[in-house]
Amino acid sequence: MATNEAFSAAINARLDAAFARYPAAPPLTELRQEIAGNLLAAVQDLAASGATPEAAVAQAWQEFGDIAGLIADVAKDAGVAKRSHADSTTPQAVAAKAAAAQAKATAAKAKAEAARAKAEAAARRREAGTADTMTITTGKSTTTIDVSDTGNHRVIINGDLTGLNVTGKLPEAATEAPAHELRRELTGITKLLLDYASDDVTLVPTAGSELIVRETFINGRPDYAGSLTVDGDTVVVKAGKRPKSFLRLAIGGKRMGFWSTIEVAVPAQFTGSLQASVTSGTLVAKDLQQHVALMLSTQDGSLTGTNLKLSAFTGSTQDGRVSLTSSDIDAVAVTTADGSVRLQEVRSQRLTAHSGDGRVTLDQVRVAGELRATSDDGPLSLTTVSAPALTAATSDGRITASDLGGAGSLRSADGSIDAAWTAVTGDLAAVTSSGRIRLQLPATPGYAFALSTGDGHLHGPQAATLTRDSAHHQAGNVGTPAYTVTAKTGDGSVTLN
Amino acid sequence: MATLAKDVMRGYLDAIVLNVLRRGESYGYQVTKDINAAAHGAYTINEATLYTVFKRLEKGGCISGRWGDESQGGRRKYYAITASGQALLAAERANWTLAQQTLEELINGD
Repeated sequence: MATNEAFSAAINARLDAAFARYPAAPPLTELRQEIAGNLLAAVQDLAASGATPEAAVAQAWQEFGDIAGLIADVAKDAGVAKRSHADSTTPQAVAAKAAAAQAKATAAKAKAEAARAKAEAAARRREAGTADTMTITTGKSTTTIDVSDTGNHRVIINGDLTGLNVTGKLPEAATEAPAHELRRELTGITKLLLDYASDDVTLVPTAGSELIVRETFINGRPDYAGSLTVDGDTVVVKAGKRPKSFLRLAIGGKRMGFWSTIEVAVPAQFTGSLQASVTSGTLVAKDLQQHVALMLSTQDGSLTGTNLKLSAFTGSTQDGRVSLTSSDIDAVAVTTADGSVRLQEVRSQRLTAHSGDGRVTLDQVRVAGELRATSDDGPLSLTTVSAPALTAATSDGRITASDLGGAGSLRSADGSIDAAWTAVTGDLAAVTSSGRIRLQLPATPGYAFALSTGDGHLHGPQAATLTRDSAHHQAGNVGTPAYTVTAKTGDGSVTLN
Repeated sequence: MATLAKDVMRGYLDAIVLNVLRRGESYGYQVTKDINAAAHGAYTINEATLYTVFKRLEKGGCISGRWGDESQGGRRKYYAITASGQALLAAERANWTLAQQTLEELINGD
């Protein structure tokens, strides 16, 4: 990636040419600085959106407008005369020519300097085990990693090490450091905060009343060790230092680069609030069974809960999957801005599951109260789900549901709805702006239905007594109605049986 | 897309630039971006034109400039609206309202 020094050198070369015929009077040097600063800002913008450095400089220069005219105007206002070619023999002209040559040489030197600085930086990165790009070939696959920017890279390559071929220097192989341990008696503590960075954190239970945090680092340093502080009834565990940027690699189970694993053993006697957050990494909670409100959050990484029995579980990630399995939790609220949500074998009093961009899957989920499963952009899939107040809604995607129990509504702004109910306890609705609707209902009890479509066929149940039957609307009863069914699509057929 | 002729816009450039700086100090490239984004393609200003507006306004005491502390090569000159600039903008806005009403009557009137 081109550096600002390289951009500036290219900009200066063009400015040298444009200013070559003017002396270095203050209004002009100021003008030059101002143009240079603005051009650099434009070039950075253009380069960030993918233009090559040369193309970015050329485009920025062209879009700036009439630079020659601008210089001429400013020179005229300042009373600075432009040097003409004719008087190139005057002493002033000779001196100016020498100055211009020197400026050119300075620009060339700056350019060379920038190139050297870039090469040195690359060399430093190579020494640090983070070359600009790496290509890793194993028996089956080739992976190329761009590690030129600063940032954290995590690459997992499955497969064995046979046929391993790497260009670019691999990070240091694993040197297992002894685990660092933090311990604290939690009697009288009602709030536990875990604040980690680019770490994988796992929460597990432990007997007794002592909190144990085990930090394991591969290629770690002493100052990576975390800290524990107590403030009244609150315990805060904070991550220590972390490398500014790192590459972590796992090839066939062999780990290289910086890795950290944090295991938090939560005493079974602890009750209250437990919050764990990481900036970039996975968060896992398993087997915790106590009166605890657990809150997990990460900006970049997945969240997983398994075999939990808690009073509340809140999970949120900006970018990653969320899954909760085999758990019994009074209140569940999980959300991801970008990723899928999967709940399996979950029992709850009230539950919300949301994805900003991804699929939401509920499998064997039983909720005693309100259940909301929503996606801003993705399909919803429900299998063996029961709730007396179900809302499944997506802004863009299909809804597929089978073995549903309870009552509620299924809504899509753009997608088909396909749902089979095995037990109905209240009114049902299925609404989509565009797509077909197919609903299957149990034989008993009876119900009243109203179907409508903006454009499509309506197929009511065989045994129905119709009260209304037109091109776009059909209504009627099956048996003695115990609940109502409404199905409505803007465009598509509706089938009810 | 239809675009506005440059000479239609010329008389309003001071007001346009002051209205951008009213939201906070800024520098050339950013101001062109703000103006071009707000005009949705119907008008584009380049930095060379903007520079002459900056100089005119600075000379008249309507804006004041200061050098930013960016590292070498990328130093930007930031401009901020002054009290006189605020007054000029208010006057320009009143002028514009009058022009708008008058032209509406003259061009579209029965």
